[in-house]
Amino acid sequence: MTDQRVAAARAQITTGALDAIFNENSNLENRFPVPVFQCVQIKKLGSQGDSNPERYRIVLSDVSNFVQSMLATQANHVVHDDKLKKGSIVRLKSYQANAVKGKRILIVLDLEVIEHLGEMDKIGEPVALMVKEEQDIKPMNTTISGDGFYGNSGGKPQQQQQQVQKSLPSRPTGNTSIYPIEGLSPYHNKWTIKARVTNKSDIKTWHKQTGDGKLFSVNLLDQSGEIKATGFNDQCDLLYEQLQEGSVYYISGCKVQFAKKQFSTLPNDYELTFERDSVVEKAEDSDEVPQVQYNFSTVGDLQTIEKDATIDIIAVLKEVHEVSQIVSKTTSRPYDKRDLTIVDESGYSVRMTIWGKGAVSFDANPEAVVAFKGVKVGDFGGRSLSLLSSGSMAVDPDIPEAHRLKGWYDSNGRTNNFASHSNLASAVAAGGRTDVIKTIAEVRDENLGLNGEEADYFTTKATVVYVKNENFAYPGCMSEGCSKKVIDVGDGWRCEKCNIVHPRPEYRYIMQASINDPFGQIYVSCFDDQARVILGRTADELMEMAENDPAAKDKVFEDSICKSYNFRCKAKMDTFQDQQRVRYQALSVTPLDYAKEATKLAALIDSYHLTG
Amino acid sequence: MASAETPRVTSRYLDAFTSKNVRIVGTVTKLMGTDAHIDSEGQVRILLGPDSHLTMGHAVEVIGKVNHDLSIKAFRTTDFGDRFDMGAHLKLVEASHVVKELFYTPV
Repeated sequence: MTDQRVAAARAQITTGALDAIFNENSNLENRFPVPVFQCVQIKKLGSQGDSNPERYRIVLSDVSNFVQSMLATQANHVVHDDKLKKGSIVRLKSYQANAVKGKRILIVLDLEVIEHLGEMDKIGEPVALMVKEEQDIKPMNTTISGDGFYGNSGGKPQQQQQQVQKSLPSRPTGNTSIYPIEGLSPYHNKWTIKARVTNKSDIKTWHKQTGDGKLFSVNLLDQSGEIKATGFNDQCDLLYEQLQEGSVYYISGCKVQFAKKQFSTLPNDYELTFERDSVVEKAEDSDEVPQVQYNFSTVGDLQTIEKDATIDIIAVLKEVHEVSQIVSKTTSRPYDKRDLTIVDESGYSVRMTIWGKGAVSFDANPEAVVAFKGVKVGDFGGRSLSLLSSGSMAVDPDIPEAHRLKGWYDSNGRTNNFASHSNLASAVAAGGRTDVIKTIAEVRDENLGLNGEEADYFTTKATVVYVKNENFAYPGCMSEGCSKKVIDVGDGWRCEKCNIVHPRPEYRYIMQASINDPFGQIYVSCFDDQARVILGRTADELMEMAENDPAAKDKVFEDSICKSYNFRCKAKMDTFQDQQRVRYQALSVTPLDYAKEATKLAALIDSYHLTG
Repeated sequence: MASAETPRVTSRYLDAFTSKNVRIVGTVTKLMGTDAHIDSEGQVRILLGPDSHLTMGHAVEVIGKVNHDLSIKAFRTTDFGDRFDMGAHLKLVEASHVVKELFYTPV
């Protein structure tokens, strides 16, 4: 029985892994993706004080070799839960290989005990690991889990990044030499990154007095971040063909310098320069390197984004215009451009301009979802967008935002009217005034309209309580734009102003309504447009009903009460028979958008600063 | 036995109302025959009754009883369509728990 157990355990143990980790770590993730060892010894180290958790030193064996290891405190639970015991078989999910004073040490960050194998005596006769070179291995983190282990480098504000990954982010790897792009700095140059080329520029040449030169650059991306890399002259020739957009490479030996921000829009303080000793190798396994990182803004956000900012955006194509050519005034060179109109769920539309080859060969159809990366925000006509040469676009990408947009467009978006950033009139009422919202109590208390000649304007949400149902209309002139009262001259109706006699008048409302809100009541007078909203009929129709069917006319008035609207009003002093009174006139009566009103009320509730 | 009150909740209030009747509004994210998932500040599993007709992507109001696993057995569902302002609704739910006495008998 015991022999069977030992055999089972031995079969699981990854013999040779230790040698590989410390001496021959090329292709480690393929050969030993998850090392399995026997724990032949556990020792608790003397505690360093009450506040520090205890530390365990364990000896791990892969049957051929053994190595001293330290259990990281975050993995202490396996000992506390009594899972890890002397003789247990364990799986290393995350570890670091270190050399301390010439001795090889494994730091175990996360391990799993294979409990069903049980514990047993030391299997085989493992010997101490022979080292190939006496070289201190600088501790490098060996797990690349998608959560940005390096997420915060020196207080740089990290934005929420959405990653397009093909496989699960938490893949345990045992590779000691892959460095995250976020960790690159000029102070450390023994690194290798594994990154995807998201963008390759054309070869650019320059001619100066000092000589001629050429360069090209690529944008490199891995889970931790992005960085630009440039190859000049010889390196340009060597690497231009080798580096392909979309492929993943192991890159090392480049110079890390401070980024020249005017040539790059990537959010990295540094950039790379390929040198003679730089090594670029294509990576076979590229699954865990994301395709493109997006950080989307919405079209509605654009109002608040400043001019010249660089953003990413995903939206539905509403219109595609023709390609045109413009000649640059500065360089006298022609540029191809194409305008697109894009919309998204924020309800806004904006113009996007794309340039060059991308513009000429653009073939996406309206209603397609397009993701743009590297878009410059301009203020032409309010707000406009331009795709940078270092940017990219993807039509109908397979990412959740695209599916969501498609779903929204299919159900709502198609029929929507979009607010355009190119009319700067957003919430501005006609006449250029912004809405001043008051309760009726405030209207009275603040004596709006009582100050002499000037009128006060306000908007209030109120309910129609009573509408005067006599003398509610007058005969008006039929001429377009003229609303003067016309006089019945027997065989027609004469307008004094236009000097025309019309066959019949066009009745216009002069309606008085009593409106209430929870705090007060006022009478407002309404002219034709406003009264039409409240009564739902034209004055002509109502006058006819008054003649022929008074009951129907009464019903119209009955139906008009108990309805709420937003009333935009003018309050002004009026002198009538020696008496001065404030008169309120409704300039516009609009039905309520309940969602908006609810949000307004919620804001009001918030301002009360209630605590739970 | 249970009172006729149905406090308005979202997923994060559910564990305070286990075995009680609640009213929850969310967007339908999954339909699986007798079960559905809705998103109401988090995913909630709904065990549907025989006459519930939900539409993917629409907002729906579910009145039902909260089970111990925080799923809800629906008594009644009402389709709220696809133009529902969830933001305003969430504000309502939040406010109703701040001044709970106005909305339900606090436990």
